[in-house]
Amino acid sequence: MISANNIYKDFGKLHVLTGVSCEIRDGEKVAIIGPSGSGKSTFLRCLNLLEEPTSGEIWLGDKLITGVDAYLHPDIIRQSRTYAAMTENGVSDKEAVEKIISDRLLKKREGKNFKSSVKEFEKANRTDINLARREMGMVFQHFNLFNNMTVMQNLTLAPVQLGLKTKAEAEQAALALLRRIGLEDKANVYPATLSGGQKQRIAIVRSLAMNPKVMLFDEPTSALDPEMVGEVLDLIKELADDGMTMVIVTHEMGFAREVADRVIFMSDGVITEEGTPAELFDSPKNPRTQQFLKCVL
Amino acid sequence: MKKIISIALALVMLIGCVAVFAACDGEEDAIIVQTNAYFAPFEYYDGTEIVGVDVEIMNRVGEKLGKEIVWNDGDFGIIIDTVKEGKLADCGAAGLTITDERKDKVDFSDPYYTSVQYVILPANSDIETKTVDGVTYIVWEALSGKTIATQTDTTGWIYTDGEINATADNDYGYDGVLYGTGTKHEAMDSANVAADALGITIDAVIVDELPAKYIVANSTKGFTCYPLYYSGADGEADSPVEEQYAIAVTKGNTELLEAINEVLAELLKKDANGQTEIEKMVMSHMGMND
Amino acid sequence: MAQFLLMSKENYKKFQARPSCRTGNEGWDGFEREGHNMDFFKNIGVLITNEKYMGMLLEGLGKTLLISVFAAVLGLLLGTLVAMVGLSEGKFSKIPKAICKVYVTVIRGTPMALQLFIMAYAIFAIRGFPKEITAILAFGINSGAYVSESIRGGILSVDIGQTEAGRALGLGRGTTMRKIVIPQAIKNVIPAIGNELIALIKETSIVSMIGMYDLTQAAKVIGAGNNMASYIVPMSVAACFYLAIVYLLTFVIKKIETRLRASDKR
Repeated sequence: MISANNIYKDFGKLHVLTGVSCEIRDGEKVAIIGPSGSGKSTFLRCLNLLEEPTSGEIWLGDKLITGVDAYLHPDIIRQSRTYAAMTENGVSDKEAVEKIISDRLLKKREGKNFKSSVKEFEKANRTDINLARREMGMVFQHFNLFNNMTVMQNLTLAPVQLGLKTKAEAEQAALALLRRIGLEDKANVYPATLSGGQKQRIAIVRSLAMNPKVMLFDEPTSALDPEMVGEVLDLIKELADDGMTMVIVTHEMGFAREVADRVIFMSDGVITEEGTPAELFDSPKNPRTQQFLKCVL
Repeated sequence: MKKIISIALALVMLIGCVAVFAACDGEEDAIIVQTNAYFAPFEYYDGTEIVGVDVEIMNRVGEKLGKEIVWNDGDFGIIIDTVKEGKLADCGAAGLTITDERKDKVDFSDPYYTSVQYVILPANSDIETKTVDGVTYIVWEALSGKTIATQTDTTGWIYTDGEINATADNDYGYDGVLYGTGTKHEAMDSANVAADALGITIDAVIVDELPAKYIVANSTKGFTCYPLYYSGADGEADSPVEEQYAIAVTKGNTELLEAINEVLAELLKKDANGQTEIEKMVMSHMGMND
Repeated sequence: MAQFLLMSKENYKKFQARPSCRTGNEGWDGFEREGHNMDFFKNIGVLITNEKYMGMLLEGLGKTLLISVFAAVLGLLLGTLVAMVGLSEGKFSKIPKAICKVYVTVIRGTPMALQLFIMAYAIFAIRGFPKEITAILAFGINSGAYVSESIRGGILSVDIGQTEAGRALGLGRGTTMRKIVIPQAIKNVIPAIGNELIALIKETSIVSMIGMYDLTQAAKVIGAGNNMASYIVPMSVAACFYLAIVYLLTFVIKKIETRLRASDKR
């Protein structure tokens, strides 16, 4: 469903992600854990392009979300002037390509052929990010409900604005979702009057109103009072049981163990270790993982 | 609520645009007079209208030429330059004194009034006066060490500045009477403003005769005023600081200049009592019935 | 000093024959004035009950309001436009963005009096061009710069999470801005814009510099030697007028603010 290829992300001189690659399969529930500063939130936000990777590519299904990263496509590299120069000097095809990739030798201008092959590729594969985002729901640590609208308006805004449903249809669907989480009596109140747990659950169903294929959760319970964490986790578990593909960045180890098919441990901008919950939590192989889990579990 | 606001805004802008277009024509056939309407009895505000001797003169000029007269009030200092440009104004009437410097920039009509610089003093002033042959006056030297206020760019300002700052050695080229005496000179927006500060931060105001008399007549603080004289060099009589008013016209506008001079000639004719129209106008605007 | 004078002996004699001022006791007879005395409050009474003076003040007030209202509208529209351009992104917005930045910097960095002067005597130095229009344009353009900064500030002060949530749902930049950010920004922007409008009304008092008859000018004329011969009385009354207008405006703005805060109640 989603594949991230060799993602690098720099904020000025700060290298937050240094070569992260990952594939999320259909129906998979992936938990990402790690110490703060490891880049896990940044990586999640790259998946729906809230952060734009410095290099690397992200694919949603067979559609390219980011721009083309030439270093991932040997065919495109072969169109460059640098490649031409190298092979003219007697370097073999394989060597040239490898060297270009490993030493990042491509310059800003690599000639007309290069440019047009990049354009062609984009034309064939790239999709508008706004369209892609319709299929990816995101839930934020601080809920981010729209404060100037009622709960009902929060839920119906996107479907109606994007022409996916009529107002009546959207409202019906919204009520059904609210009923599911037992908050239909809050349909016409403003978010300011709600508790954290209520807000987050409404934020979750707001994303669900768009019928996404995958849900991204960025530390959904980190800003909640302990009493409310449970109700939110229960909802997420429900979604998981219903078969929703999801990627969750979380500190709730118990939850990760229970719900996730795969757990990814990130530290210092790379994926340090990954595996099933049993593998990772019970017998971590990497010392960094062990160190982290010792503190947390 | 949003709709109401946006409609209101749109209406306002529409009205504005229409007004701009409407205002852009007209005014082709008018004579624009640049002035500084704080100079009774020549031009001053009565309510929201500018009235005065100069207004009456220019009205007659307008009649003669068949054109409307429009008055443009502004800073005194820009009058000469505006008339020189000739774009925004055709002439300037503001009790302007003829000076050589000004003659370089604009043409002057025939002089129609002679004025003397006066000094306004607060009540209980210690500045000396001198009386010769029944005329009481003040010589420049009596103002030594005092703080004098004048209206910026008027001849009163020019004279005072000269007397205080000039020496034969610097740019002025002559010796100012008050040079080096510690006399201070404050330039103000108008004589009225200066008069407000008289007796408080100002010791004397130097301004033309008529405005001086006007201010004194209207004052409730017991001001007095006396003509300003130059001390005569050994043996000679003291002489007043005298000057002549005329109307400034853009160089080359002979039609307007001739019309003004014709009107002035009429008004300067003496009647049976030896009085000119201009004198009568001055008296009536000063509130004196003769 | 001789070069400045055109003395003629006849004029000198004429001068001699005129009555001159004597000491305060003898006074300048023949000139009648209303019986003023130095009492401040009594003079205020005289001014308020004098139809002519109040007429002058009201005419001046009318001019002040005229300029303020139109300039305010112009400022709001211009400010909104400039703010939107300043926040836009994309390759076609580089030049417009730069122009807006220069505009805001220059207008905020130079005194209003100077801007008015330049507008009146350089840019719109057109024969017969109505001064009201010049004033409205000068004050409107000045106001626009400050308003645009207030709006920009208000928009940037909306939590970025709101924008992120909107974009994450698939909404475009424009829709997110219109439906989510701007409604919330307005709450923050209204007080700042209110302040700017109040400043505008009071700033218009400098139009007397270019010869316009506004409220301050009316007070000046009343206080000049031909009328009350005291500036403090008419100036105080004019100040009360300004105070009343500003108070009214503040009241309206507070009402708008309260209405907008309805959705913030907990």
